[in-house]
Amino acid sequence: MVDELLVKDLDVSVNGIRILDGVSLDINTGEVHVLMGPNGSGKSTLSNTIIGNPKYKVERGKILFNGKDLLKMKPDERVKEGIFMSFQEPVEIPGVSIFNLMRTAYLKSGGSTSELSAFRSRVSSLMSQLGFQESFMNRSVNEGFSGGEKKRFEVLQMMVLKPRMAILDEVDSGLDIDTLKIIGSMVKEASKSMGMLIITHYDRILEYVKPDFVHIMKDGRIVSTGGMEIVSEIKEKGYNYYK
Amino acid sequence: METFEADYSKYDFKNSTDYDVTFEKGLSEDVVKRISKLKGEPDWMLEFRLNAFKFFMKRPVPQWGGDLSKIDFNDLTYYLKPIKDRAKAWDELPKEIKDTYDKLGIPEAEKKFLSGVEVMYESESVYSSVKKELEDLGVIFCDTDTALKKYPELVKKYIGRVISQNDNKFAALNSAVWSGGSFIYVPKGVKVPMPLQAYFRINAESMGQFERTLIIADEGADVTYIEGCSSPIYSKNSLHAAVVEIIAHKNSHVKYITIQNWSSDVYNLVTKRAFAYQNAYVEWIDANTGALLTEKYPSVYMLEPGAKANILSVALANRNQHQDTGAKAIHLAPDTSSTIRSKSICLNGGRTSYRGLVKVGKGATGVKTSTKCDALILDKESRTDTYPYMEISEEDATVSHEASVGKIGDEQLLYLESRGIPEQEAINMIVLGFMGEFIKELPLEFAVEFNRLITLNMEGAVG
Amino acid sequence: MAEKPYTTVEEFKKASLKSFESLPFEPNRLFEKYIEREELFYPKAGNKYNTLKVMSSTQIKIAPGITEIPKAIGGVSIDDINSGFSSVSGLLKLHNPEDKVEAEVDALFNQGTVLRVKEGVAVPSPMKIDISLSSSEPLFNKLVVFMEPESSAKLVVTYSSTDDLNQLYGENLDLYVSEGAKLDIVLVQGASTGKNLALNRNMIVSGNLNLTEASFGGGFVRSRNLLKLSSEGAEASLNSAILGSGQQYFDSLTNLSHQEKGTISRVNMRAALSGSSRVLFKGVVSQEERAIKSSAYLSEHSLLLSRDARSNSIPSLEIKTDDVKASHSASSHPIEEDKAFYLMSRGIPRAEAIKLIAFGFLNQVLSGLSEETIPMRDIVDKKVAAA
Repeated sequence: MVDELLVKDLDVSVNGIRILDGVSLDINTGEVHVLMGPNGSGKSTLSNTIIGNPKYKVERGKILFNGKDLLKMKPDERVKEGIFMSFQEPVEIPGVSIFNLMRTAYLKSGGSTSELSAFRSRVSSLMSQLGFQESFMNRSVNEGFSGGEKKRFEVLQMMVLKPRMAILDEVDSGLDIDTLKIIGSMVKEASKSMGMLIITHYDRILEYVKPDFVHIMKDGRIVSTGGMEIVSEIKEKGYNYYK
Repeated sequence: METFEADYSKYDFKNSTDYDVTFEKGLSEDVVKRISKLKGEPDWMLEFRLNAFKFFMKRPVPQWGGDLSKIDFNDLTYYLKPIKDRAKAWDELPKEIKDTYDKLGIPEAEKKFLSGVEVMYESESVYSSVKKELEDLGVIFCDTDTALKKYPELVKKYIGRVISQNDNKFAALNSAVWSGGSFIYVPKGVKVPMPLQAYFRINAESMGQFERTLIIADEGADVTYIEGCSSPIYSKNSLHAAVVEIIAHKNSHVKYITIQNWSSDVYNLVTKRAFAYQNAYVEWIDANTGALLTEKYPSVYMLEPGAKANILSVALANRNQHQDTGAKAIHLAPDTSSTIRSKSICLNGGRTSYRGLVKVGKGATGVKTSTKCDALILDKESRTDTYPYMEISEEDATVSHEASVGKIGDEQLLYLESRGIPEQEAINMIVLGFMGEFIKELPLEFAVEFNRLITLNMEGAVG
Repeated sequence: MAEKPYTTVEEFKKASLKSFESLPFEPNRLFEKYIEREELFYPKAGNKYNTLKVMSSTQIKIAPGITEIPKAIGGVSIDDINSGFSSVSGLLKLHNPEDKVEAEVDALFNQGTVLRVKEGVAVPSPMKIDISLSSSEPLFNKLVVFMEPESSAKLVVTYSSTDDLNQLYGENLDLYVSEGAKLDIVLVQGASTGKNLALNRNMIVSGNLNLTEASFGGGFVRSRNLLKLSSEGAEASLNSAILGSGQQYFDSLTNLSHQEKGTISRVNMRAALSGSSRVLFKGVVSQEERAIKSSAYLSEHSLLLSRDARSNSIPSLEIKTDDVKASHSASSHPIEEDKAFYLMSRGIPRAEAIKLIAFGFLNQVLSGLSEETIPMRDIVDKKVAAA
């Protein structure tokens, strides 16, 4: 079955300042969409709005997932529907261990306590695939994590939660080659069974995942949509090329 | 480390002046009445004083702070008037008084960018010159006695409003026998272009100082006031119980800077408080380097939304001194914020105590407040305390408090010495660096004076 | 304080009664304005303890109270207070009660234990004392723990109730940790809300002490931690997690005195408060003249989860010598929205997210303790109301 995330004519503001201006997107299962644009263009605003960050105010427009109105739902309800967003700057939550977070998220998403040990092994295996030692289970969420560890942990959570639509906000920024490889291949694998919106500043992740659609965002608007050729254009001419 | 002795020789002189009117020692209802009669005050002010006197007699001496047990209220004089009238120009002053001020360097200061100088000698203001500029702006800047005569309605409206006669024993005393002090009124929207300042000093033996300062900033006004004082060294104890009230109306900004350097026999017990209304911003910048015992906790009551407070307190306690100082930030309205910073240094057995209160009352939502206290303790004989009180009654208040105590690091000293700087100077540099935040708040002229003051207080014995 | 030790329990109680009569409820001027409901801590009128007569142990019916005192383990002696009294009577002279309630417990205790770990003995498994507060009769308990030099042990004390009757419980816990000895003590206080608790801990440490406390039960809980680091190099850490709800009031005092060179202390107190619960943190950390090269850290943090929760804190420092390190920090704040949002973005509903954050907040002072020792997660789940 094919899931569809439909963003239509979205106007979003923060602290009274308008950031997004009439943004529209249509993402289906199996499609990889890439969103690129200069700093401050509104990319993170879009991803945060889709997942329901209360700081962002939707002035106009719709976000529908399989016809359901996401704007009426709280963030955790949107996750239940199958949406996932990985943060550009994940926050630290001292005192809450990784395992505690995973377990709670699992139970809240309908997991059953009787299958907890199976769940735990699954998490363990994903952790080792993403290059985490078993001891990480007991670390506090994001506390003292390097940039690469934070991004890998975001991807880990995505794999655990198995969403139907994933939005990855700069999951590839600040990574070294090895980390990028791990994340890249994992994201590629995941993209086969879900719809994806990859927000990126560079094109490094695109060595691993080939996009079906590339969008350019500038000043809160999508100014161009196309295929991989757009990426080459940007590399040549920069974002200023787009009006 | 060597022992350091404070060097007061610059200030250590007495003048024998013939005083115009002298009262005997001791305080009674009679003394209060005589003071009021001598000043020719309206009846309501006499009543104000008498009520305060009653409160003063009733209240016990507070026990929670420093040692006040040696104050003998019957052994002080409560009023001294050096000359009959006030001089309008510098040259009119009696020679001895002029000499005193020459030594303190006032004329130079006046020549520079200061606008008007209120000088208080003993218990009377003997000199005032308000520049035309201030007059044109409609700014009132005079001593409080004059204000009572010229602007009685204004004084009546505001005096005692922020600090009532019964607030504490020493405010009650001040309210009964006050004399002199500054009165400032800044009209709506007026920004006073340069800092207003006042110098005063205690001179006679066993003299009490009870000036009463009242600053009213009307809506949108902006004013900075600087107060600095010194006094010669005596064997008997002197008492300085001043009251400063600030009313900062909507959108106004008041900055009050004090450099206190009373000699080491003075009890400096001051009540300073400001009411900040909507979006008003009040700053207390307070340095205490002198006196035997200082008890002073500048406060800001934020009464309406958007009010802000910034309190910066710096204290240096040398041999036998106890600086018991701090701040109070009282949030009684939503969306108010405050910052308290305290820096203290104690040496040669001196003692510094920080006493602060941060209160977020019920209904005061959206409050942000932070306090940072740092103390340097330079030797084993000295002592430093921190007593912060936080009373939070609203869940969404963001309140933080940090304090640290330490000594000057050996590595820091070594580093400076390895660049050819002798130990004493290295210590001074580090101490001045430690006080850096405070020094930045001072107008340049005062920064220089303050630097000298600190260095004076830190210097080793000559020879 | 080298004086003649007490010879009998009676003598001790009589002396304590004299102190009771002359001592104030709150000896420290700094905290005078925060005194509340003092009368809760004296036995009610109409009760047989009201007359405050000194009662010898044979006259008192032992109230239904302490259960499961650890069985005597090799290298450890465990005695009822009356039989074990003489072995610690000298120690008891090292400390005089500082406030009225402490003296009251010493004058009236009708229950008590002396636990002594012999020199060089390392007790392999934790010892447990369970205290059940389940009646309306006031209960006063004297617990003396003495760690001889080079010994080590772990002690877990739990407080629970099977009823909600209004009861006064007063406890003096005296901990003496000799040089080279190490004591880990965990206190889990989950009495019912009808119980008012006066918990006085007097700790004299020459070795190493770690005290961890989770306090979430009781109605009015008044705890006083009096700790002296009395030998060179002595170390202590005090960690306290308070979880309040309903009308609970936690009045917590820590007086920590560094008396000798090179002593180290870390005090971390945290409270998460919902409903109309309140906490009052009072702390005085002092470094005396001889305590050069000592290091002290005091932190008190409150997380307010509801409009009516209140937090007052007074973390004070008194430093009487240079060449020391001392710092403290205190804060009060609500749930940080970006943390709540992060958890919600992982599918965790807001109510659950708040519980997780509150748990994480408190857990930071309980780190290292297993869920069996303190089941904090469950406690938070039960007590933190959905916001």
